[in-house]
Amino acid sequence: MEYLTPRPGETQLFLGNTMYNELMITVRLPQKKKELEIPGPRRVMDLLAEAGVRPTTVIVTQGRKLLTKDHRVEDGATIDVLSVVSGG
Amino acid sequence: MKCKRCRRAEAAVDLPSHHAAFCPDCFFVFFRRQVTEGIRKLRLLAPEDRVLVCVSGGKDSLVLWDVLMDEGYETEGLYIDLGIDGYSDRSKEKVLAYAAARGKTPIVVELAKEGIPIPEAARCVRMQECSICGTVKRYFFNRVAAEGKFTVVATGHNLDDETARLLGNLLHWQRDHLARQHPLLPGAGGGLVRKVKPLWRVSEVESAAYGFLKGIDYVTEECPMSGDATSLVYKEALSRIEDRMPGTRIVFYQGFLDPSNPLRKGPEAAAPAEDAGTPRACASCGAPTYAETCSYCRMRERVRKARSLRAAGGSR
Repeated sequence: MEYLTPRPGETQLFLGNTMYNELMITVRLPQKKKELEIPGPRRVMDLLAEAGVRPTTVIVTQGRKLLTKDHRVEDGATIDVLSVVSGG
Repeated sequence: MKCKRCRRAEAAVDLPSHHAAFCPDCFFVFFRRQVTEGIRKLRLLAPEDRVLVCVSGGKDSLVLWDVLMDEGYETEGLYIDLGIDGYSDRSKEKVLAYAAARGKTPIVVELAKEGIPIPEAARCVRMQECSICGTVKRYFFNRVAAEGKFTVVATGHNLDDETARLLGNLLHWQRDHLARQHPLLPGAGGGLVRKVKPLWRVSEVESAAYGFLKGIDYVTEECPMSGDATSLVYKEALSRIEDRMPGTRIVFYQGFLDPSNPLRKGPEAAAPAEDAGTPRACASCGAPTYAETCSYCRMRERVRKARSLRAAGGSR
């Protein structure tokens, strides 16, 4: 069996007895200066739960697109989770 | 998910509190209707008003300015440079860029030039940074509005801001604050200009979504001095409730604003003793105040004293 080191944005999966690198979803939280790699496909609300973010405190974008919480995000995609909470 | 309004396009914004989801075009219609309804219901603005919009570079104030301009109101922007290293420069950049794109030049007040930059004031005066900032900003909002012959000052406070404040006031039974909390603070003689919060029906998510979809480039970083703000604690509590029970925030606030609410109708609420009568001119700066000198001048004096004490300490 061949072992491969996953590159950023990839995860290791087994198919039969072969291990291969798979693309993942990149979740960026710019205000927290954090970036997560989560295997897809997943709905936005599931990605938020995984990232520990409450849905009423953020908007989620993919490039110029705004995503609804039930939008299905595919592997290889990069999404931004932008906090909307202002203090003071 | 399809848009609930046009039923054709793919939805971009889902709003559980309204049992709705909208495509960008329908969301613009919905959002602007929310703002105009908020203005109409509480008679916040009249078509002939000259509106001074206080813009910080954040999403809410820029979105407010955008909507008011699109609705045909005569507006000018006011930016107050708080003198916070880096953050203030970046915020100002956003305001200037947005204003230029709309053919406007905002009025800019620099607190460093006024001798009261917020970080230094916070070091000198033993008060919460946000509280100092609020006092200073309110002072300049009114001063610039009165000097510029504006009929009304508009700020970008949204539903989340107002409900967080309401929760804080209720938890501490701040009866006088509760009596005065409203999206419309009427003007008074002596140069106290009317203040309005036209985004009172709009949540933070809705405001951010509108700004994003309209391509408004706002500052997304938080003020570095607001980390300890108590309003954030109330906001978090309310957002947890909203997650489980969508629509709670707007019911909470609309119920509070209902004229039948005894908290807003009691005799103390109608005429709080300290607010009775017409404001007089501050002995120091001439701004309207109910005390001998206005709270801004009192604070500036404390900062000045603390500064000279430090200078004297440093020279020894």
